[in-house]
Amino acid sequence: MKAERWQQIEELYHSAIELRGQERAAYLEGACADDKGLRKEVERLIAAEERDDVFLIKPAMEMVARGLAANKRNNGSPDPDERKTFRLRILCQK
Amino acid sequence: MLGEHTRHTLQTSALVNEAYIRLIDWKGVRWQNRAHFFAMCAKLMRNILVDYARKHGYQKRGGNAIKLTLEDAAGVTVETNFDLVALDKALLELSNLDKRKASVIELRFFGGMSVEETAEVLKVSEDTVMRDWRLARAWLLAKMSGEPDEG
Repeated sequence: MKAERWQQIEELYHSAIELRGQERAAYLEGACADDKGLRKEVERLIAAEERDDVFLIKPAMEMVARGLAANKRNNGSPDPDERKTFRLRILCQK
Repeated sequence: MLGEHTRHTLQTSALVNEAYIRLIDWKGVRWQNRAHFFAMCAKLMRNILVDYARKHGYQKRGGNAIKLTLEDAAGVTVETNFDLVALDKALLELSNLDKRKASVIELRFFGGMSVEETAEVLKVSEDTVMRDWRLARAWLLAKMSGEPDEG
């Protein structure tokens, strides 16, 4: 994709995402004129954003920690090394 | 028997250890400033986590995806699949298209940085970081869902 094209998509995306329903459709209709590909690309990005509001919502480390916790619930006993880290943390907090 | 649990575990302590080893391995690096150091740390975290996901995988559950339970912005609990390896690949593509947006994702998601810190590292306004973040996130989602784009 060419840089100008990407910049065009970016501008339209930020303007369109602030609008809803008919307003958005009308805006894109006017702004994209006969460039159907451009409109489709902007709508595709907006649809992606609106479809999933948890993607990347937490930092990677926190997600890994959650994955770990879930894994532990499924597996039972805590890992000895991790228990050590936990104890260390408690000691540090004193 | 020693399998499942050990395979899928990545302790924080092990992670810090790994980060330390890789960090002291960068003998040639001349740290320019604090921002440079944070940027490198985010890259390091990305490498470690993606390497881990690739090596130990979650293949048994389909692809490299990890199943996660998260709260959305409204506080509603949702289950989601998350694939670090696919994210890494998509992020590489994004960086060819728009390097700064890929950096925003790297710093915030892998580096755990705030909008303010990210703005400092990239020397842009916080507003730019927010806008970059939003579009980059949408682009990655579309990419990872396997939809064809304009090319």
